[in-house]
Amino acid sequence: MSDSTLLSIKNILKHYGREKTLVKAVDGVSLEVNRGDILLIKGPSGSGKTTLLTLIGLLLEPTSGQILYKGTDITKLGQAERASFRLKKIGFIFQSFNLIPSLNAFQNVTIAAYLNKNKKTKIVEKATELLALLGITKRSSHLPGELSGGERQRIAIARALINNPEIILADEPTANLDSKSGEEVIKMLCQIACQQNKAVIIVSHDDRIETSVKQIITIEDGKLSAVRKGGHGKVCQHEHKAQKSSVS
Amino acid sequence: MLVKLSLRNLVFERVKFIVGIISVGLAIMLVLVLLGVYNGAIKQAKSLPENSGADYWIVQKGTRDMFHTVSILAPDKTSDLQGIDGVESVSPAINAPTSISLGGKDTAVGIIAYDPATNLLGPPEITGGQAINSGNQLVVDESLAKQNGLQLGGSVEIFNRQFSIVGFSGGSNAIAFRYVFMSLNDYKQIQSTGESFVNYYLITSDSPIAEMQGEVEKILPGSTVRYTAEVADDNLAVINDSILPIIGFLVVIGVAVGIMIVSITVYNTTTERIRDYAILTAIGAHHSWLSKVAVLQAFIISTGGFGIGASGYFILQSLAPEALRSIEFNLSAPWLLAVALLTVLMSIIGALIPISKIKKIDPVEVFNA
Repeated sequence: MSDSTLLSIKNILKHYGREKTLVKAVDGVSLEVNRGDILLIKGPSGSGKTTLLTLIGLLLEPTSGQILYKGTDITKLGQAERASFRLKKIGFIFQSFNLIPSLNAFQNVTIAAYLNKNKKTKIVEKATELLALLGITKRSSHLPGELSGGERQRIAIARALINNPEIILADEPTANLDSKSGEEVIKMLCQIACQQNKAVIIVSHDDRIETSVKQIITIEDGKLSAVRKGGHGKVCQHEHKAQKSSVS
Repeated sequence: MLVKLSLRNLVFERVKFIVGIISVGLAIMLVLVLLGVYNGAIKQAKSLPENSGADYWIVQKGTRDMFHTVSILAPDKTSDLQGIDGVESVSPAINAPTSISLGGKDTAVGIIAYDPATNLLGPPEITGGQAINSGNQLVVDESLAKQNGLQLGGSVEIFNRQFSIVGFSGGSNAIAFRYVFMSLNDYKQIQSTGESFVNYYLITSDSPIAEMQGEVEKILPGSTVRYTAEVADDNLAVINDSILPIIGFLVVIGVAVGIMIVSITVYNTTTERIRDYAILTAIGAHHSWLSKVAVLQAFIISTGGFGIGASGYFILQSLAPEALRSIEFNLSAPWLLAVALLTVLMSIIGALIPISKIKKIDPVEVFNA
């Protein structure tokens, strides 16, 4: 495990049911994720890729195995500690955006920072900066229902970044977007990974993403079936020094 | 953000929010009205003895209150009683429940016949006109007068004798009886039997009751001396024994209805916004923070409901003298504060079910498109 390794996932299992009803949603996956990595997890429906993402995101407890964050096993954390870990270290981006419909765009971005008990002035400053970076400043007072899919996903990205997390987990981030918006979202995610040295893990069926990521991992029946390099570099203009991303 | 999210979640479904808050308001108004009526009834029940001006009441042994028990005492003992050491003044009084014709219909009233010279057990408060100062004069309870359209200077027939209304009295509506006041001399004349008895002797005195008891019994065998406060408390006991259990039961129902409405409204809001809670859980919100949202929502509904309920109560209270003339509303600040605290309690209890729902939220659900 190198210094740049953020996550080390070791033989993780998630099984449901017993004996005849046993479902092996994730079955012995191991991988390492480094800073600046952009990983694409692919696989057919029901292959376990979203389950793997939720395990990494500490939303599910594994049946066995370890997830080490900078060498510490985070699967052993209690419920409140897991929530705090998600809040501080992980940014989530969802297929259906998952914005709070009763809050406007700005409030949707800032809510994660308020939950993290950041100072109000810093929250406003950071949210303003992110909205500007993602080109949605003018839409900040709009409710999610008044925004396009692309705009909503940008708000979701801003929310994911507001606490400056080290890991971004994106579940089918382009599935509900037209091709142009989808491309833009992936471009943003890759730029974030490159420029801010974050690890981005994307679960997607979208083949176009392959050209933008560093590594493509295929999962079938809960097992890791293939690992190959992506076309990373076409999007990122600022290449970081090579960072190892090993998969076992 | 906590307040903002709670409020916005509530008002997102505006109609439901308004219906919920009005429903809670009506439940709280019901509680306030019941407590107001109860406190009004207490005030009404105690008003006559407390405003009688007497320190002690001489009554027949066994007499408790002014409504249910009758005291029969020998007349013409005033001067004998006056001779007891420490007695400053003595006045006999009659309390005679009867029926008189007002506006063509028989109306139950209580006649208080008293001595206008001492004014002991006279009208508690003259709210219109003047006190009795000569014969054939009547002071009428103001709510009775309003209800029956009685005017100052008008006449009322009692036992085939015409009385002129010279004044209106406040504090003389004791729920079961609304009182009319006349002089003892007039009462003697309208009674066919003459003055064969009196109901009470009212005394003002600085002497302790124990010192008088023996002397009084010598003058009026079979009588007892009671503090004015005792008579007032026994009047109150009649109210407590009769209407308090009913009012208490209705208050409990009102509070239970309020809690249910708060709970249902917050539960519905929580259920409708369950995905929001799941999103917040997924991104790192603690259950305690989300529970605070539910409690705050319940508090907003309860507080809004309290505002509506209290406003409704005070509107009703101001209209009550006209619309509900025999009912007096009386709600002091401590009672209002107690209901406000009850409202806070209501919001906490009302949030319990939604909180249990929040605790069961599975954040993985947010990954379902």
